[in-house]
Amino acid sequence: MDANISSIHALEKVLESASYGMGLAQSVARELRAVRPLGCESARLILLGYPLHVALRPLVETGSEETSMLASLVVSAPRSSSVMIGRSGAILADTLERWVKAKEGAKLQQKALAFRSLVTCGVLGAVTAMLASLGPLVNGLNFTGTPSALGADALLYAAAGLTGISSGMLGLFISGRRFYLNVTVALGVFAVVSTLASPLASVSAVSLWGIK
Amino acid sequence: MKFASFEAFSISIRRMLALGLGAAALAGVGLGLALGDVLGEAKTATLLVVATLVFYVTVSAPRRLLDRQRVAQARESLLLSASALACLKVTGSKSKTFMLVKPKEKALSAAVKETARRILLGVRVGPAAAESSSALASYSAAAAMESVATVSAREFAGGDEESRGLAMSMELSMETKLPVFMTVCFFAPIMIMLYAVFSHIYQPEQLVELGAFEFVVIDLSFYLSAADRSQ
Repeated sequence: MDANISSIHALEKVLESASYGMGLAQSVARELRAVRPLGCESARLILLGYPLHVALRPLVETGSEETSMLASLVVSAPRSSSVMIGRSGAILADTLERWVKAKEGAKLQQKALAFRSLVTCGVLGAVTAMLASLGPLVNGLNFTGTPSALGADALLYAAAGLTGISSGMLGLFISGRRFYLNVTVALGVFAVVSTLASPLASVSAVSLWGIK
Repeated sequence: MKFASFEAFSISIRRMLALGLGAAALAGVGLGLALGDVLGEAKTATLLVVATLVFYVTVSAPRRLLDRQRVAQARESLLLSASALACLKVTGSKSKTFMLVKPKEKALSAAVKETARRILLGVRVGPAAAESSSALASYSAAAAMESVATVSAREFAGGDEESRGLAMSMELSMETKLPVFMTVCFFAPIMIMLYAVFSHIYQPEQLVELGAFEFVVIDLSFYLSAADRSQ
C-alpha cells in the first residue's frame, strides 16, 4: 500500500481511538509504528517520552499535504478535546484518502504521458536529423551539377542543438528532473538517423540531361 | 475596470500595466538584439508577438498567484472546519474558537489572527470574521470562518467541493495546454530547420541566433502552459 494512504489509515485509527476516549500518545505509538519511515519515527519519539506535537513533527513537516493536515488535526487535539477532534477527524480522513487516491491516479497518468513524451522526442530527433542531413541536398538540387553542401556540418550541429532544447523543455514539463531521458532519447535517435542518412547526403546528384 | 487579483494584493493597476509594458519592451529589445537579421522581414512581427506574450505573462502574474492561494485555502478550509467544530463544541465559545485554531496556510492564518485581534479589541465575532474573511481567495475558507462565527457548524462538503472543482478545472486546463506545448516543442525545431534550409542559413552565427529564437519561443510557451501545474 502507498505510504501516504497507510499514514492516513493509521492517523484515522488514532482519531477513532481518541473519539472513544483513549489516550492519543498510546494510539500514536500503537498505530503509527508500522508506517515507515515517518510514522515509525513518530512512534519512536512518543516512546522516548516526547510530547505529541514534537513526536508528530516528522509527519506534519515532511509528510505529504494530506498526511500533514491530518497530523496537524491530531496535534491540535490537546488544545480542545481529543474526543471531539476524533469525531470530526473521521470525515476529514475519508476526504483526504480520496485526495490521495486521486493523486495516485494522476501519477499513473503522468507515467503514460512521460512515455508519450519520450516517443515524441524520438520522432523529433529522427525528423530533425533527416532534415539536417538531406535538407541541403534537396535544396541544392538543380539537376545540372553537384549540389552545394556548404555548411552542412554546421546545420547538423544546429539541428542537434535545437532538438536538445526542445526535448529538454518537453521533458522538464512532463517528467521534471528526469528531463535528461528525453534529451538522451532525442539525441540518440538523432545520431542514429543522421549516421544512417549521411551516405545519402554525400551522394551527388546526377544531371538529368545525361539520362536517355 | 475591476481586477479582483490586483485588488486582493493591493496592486495599483497603472503600476502593473507600466511594469508589464516595461517587461515587454525589455523582452522585445533584448530579443531584437539577440536575433540580429536572421528572421528578415518577419522580425518586427515576431518581436511584437513576443512582447505581447511577455506583457500578458507579467500582468497575469497576480491572477495566477491568487489561483494558487485559492487552491491552498480551499484545501486548508477542511482542516479549519474540523478543528473549529471540535473547539466550538468543547469551549462553546466562538471567540475562544478563533483564538485556538491555527491554520497553516499563510493568508488563512492571517485572517484568523486578524479576527482574533478584532475580537480582543471589542468587535463582535460576526462582523470581525466577516471582515477578515472577505480578503480570502477561497469561498470555502471564508464560509468556514463565517460558519464558526454564526455557529452553523457545517460539515466539510464545502471545502471538498471547491477543491474538487478547482482540481477538475486544472485538469481540463492541462488537457488543453499539454497538446499545445507538445506541438510547439515538436514543430518549432522542424520549422526553424526548414527555414534555415530554404533561406540558405548555414553560418554558425545565424544558426545560433535561430537557436536563441527557438529557446525564447519554447520558454514562453512553457511558462504559459506550466502556470497551473504547480498547484
